[in-house]
Amino acid sequence: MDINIQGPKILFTIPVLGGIEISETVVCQWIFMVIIIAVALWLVRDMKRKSISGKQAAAEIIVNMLNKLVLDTMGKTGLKYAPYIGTLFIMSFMGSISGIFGFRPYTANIAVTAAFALVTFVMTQYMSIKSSGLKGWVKSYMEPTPLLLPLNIISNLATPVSIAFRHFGNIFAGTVVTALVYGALASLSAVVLQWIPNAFINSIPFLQVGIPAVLSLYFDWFGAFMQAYIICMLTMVFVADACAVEDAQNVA
Amino acid sequence: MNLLFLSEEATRGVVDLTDVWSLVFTWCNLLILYIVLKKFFFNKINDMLEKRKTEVEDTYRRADEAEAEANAIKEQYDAKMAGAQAEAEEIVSNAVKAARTKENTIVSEAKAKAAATIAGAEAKIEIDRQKAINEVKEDISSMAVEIASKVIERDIGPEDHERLIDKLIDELSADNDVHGEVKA
Repeated sequence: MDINIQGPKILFTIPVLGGIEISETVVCQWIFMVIIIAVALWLVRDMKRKSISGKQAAAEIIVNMLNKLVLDTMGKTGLKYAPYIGTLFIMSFMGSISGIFGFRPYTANIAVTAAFALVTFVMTQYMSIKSSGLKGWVKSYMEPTPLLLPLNIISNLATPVSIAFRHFGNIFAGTVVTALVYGALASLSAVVLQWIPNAFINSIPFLQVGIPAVLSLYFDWFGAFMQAYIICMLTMVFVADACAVEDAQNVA
Repeated sequence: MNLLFLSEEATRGVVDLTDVWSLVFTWCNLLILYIVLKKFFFNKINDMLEKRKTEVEDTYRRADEAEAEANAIKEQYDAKMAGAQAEAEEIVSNAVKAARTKENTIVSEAKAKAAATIAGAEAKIEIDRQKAINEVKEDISSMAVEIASKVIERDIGPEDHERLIDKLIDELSADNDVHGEVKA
């Protein structure tokens, strides 16, 4: 018996630039983007200042929680990043959770998590340049001594790599473990049912009912939430760190 | 049981670092989602929260102002009330003073009147007493003449007569002075 762990399927190819392959990953993102935007628009429909509806209260709680999280992590100047952090969170979370809707989780694709991590990387470098100037930014790579320049470059580049691989690895491992457990439960079902002399009945993987739900609770719900939270937290911390010089200058 | 990481024609590799288009599309999707959510979700709700915050602060400020105003009015009222009480007390004390003065006048007038009445009465009593004494004197003299004429059975000469009467009167007067009042 073979258990196949596949990469994302290529669904179609756009015949420009030598053929752009559109994989499951991107289509899944489109589907979830539509769902997220629809829900967001529904949540903010006819908002009122007084005697608010339940959905408006929910939307306000979500935004308040996000604002508070960003405020606590990044300070007041970081509040303008709250919408990006929220977007990153929902994109990451929906990508990881999409497994329970039968999709291949798009965050189990290194290209997606690398895209998230590169945005974070660019944001940190941009903020660093903006806050301490191009000279200061170059100088920050020479600290404490120019001898450490290679190490500083590696450590800066390691940040997005580690973010990308952590996220990808957690979600991908979840899908692998889930697939293995499904396979194992199918084999176990066949063993349990082998006394029945009927090939069809023997092939019913009845143990697959229920048991994988516990795994799903961890790998889909908890794992998805944790990874989304971690990538948002790291983004906030790194960007706030890059802004710290600016804040210090503002205070002085 | 074999675990196979497949990379067939129709699929991408499991860990495929050449899948640049997925990366680019993810960027685009992230950007689009960010713009849409920021414009139609976060900004809207943040505006709403901000509006509500301003409104709440406004309401609190107005409540504080109203309270301050009420306090000022109450203070004014209290001051007025205190003034009114003082005024009332003054009025009452003035009235009491006036009443006292009037009372004193009335009493002293009454006393004076009473004293005058008593004095008048005493004078009248004295006059009556004198009158009574004189009357008694006359009665006694005539009575003495009668008694004397009856006892002696003879006429005494007018000189003796006069002498006897005077002597009797003097004796009676002396007797009267000792006792201080007339015996009826």
